[in-house]
Amino acid sequence: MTPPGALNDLIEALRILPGVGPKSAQRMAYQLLQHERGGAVRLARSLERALQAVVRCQRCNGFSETPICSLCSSPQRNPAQLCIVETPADQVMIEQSLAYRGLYFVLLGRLSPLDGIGPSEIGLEALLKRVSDGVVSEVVLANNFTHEGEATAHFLSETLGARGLRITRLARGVPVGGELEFVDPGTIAQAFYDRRDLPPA
Amino acid sequence: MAGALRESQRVDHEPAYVLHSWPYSETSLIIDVYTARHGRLPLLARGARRPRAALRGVLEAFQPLSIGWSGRGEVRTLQKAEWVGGLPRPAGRALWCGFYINELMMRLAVRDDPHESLFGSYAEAISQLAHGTDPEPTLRLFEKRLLAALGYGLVLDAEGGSRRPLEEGSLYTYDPERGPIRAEAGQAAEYLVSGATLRAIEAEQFGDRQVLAQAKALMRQVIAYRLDGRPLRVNQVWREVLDVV
Repeated sequence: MTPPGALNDLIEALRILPGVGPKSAQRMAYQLLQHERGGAVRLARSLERALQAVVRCQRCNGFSETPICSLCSSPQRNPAQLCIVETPADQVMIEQSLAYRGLYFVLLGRLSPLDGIGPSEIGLEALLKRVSDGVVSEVVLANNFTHEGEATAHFLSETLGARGLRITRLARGVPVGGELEFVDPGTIAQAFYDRRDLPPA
Repeated sequence: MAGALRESQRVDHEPAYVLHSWPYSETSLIIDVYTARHGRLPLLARGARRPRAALRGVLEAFQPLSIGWSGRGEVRTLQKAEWVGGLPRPAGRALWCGFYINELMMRLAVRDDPHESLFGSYAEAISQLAHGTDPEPTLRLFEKRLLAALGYGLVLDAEGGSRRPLEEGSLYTYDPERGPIRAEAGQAAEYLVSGATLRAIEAEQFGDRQVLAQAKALMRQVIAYRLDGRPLRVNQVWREVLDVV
């Protein structure tokens, strides 16, 4: 039996979510219409509201309800430091660490040479405009430690370093509180290659 | 080959390199691997993208692995991947060269068509890139051996067609199907390669700057021909990068 048109549209629409195939989409649609009609109304309204209210911040490219987000306009943050991340989720993780008091720039992903994704697809022009405000002096590259993330970081360090900025990259190695016994060999290998001298006592 | 693919296959302890990977469903990966005895093949790595998956940090490109898989059909299932290790991750320009080599492998090496010598050449090239030696001679040597392994070997000992011996001091054009052709006087210089360079490529001697430059132009032309004129993505992105930097 083919479901009625509106139901079918809903199932198709749900399939845009990551990891949702036809079967899960159908289950979700039935759940919403059968047991969760109130929740479904809330979902529909908040989705509509978010689409209208949430824009990209003009300075950091992250999500915001104002043209410039609260973090970018906060006087508590150090405007001389700019941390570059691949996604808004990465930014949230760094914020949770409470280790960084500077500002952010969210790239639109990363370079992926084998997939043909180059500088023009990751929002490079907006970044170049952002770092030439005369205030930013250090750029912290927090790209992921995948080969694509590394290629992106290398590219950014060449491009931004040529503009006289200090370029730093997050360190990599064994996780804090990590027992070597349970760390994957790739991470341990890299921690060995990147080992550093301890200052003399 | 199609018959062989339908049979269920179980392979273990196979030396391999990951060439590229793509997310598949919520937590899995499809990896394109090059193996010593089974050539290039796609594998499904179930759960490899889960936050604490043991395969995370193992299924990385440019790292020697030992893998096992089973199944039938085009995409078989990865059962095991062990770190063989010993290589730093290539960095900076060497990393881009690594992407280039991987794209050449993905575009030119046919699936399920093993060449053990090519596996060795690939491993050697990746190791040299990882250790930060000048990438240019590494790339030229790899290109020469890749073409030879895949049956597109360059003619480097005599003129194409006539089989007249090459003269060190003479200049040649290169016809990808026939080999070196003696150049006419006044022919465009960028396509010309000297007899000395052709011999040096045959002897795998890439120490000389002029040999390197001519070999690069020659390889670019021959590889473009083998790719039927469809450009490599890595090269397109690299050119875009150079424009910005």
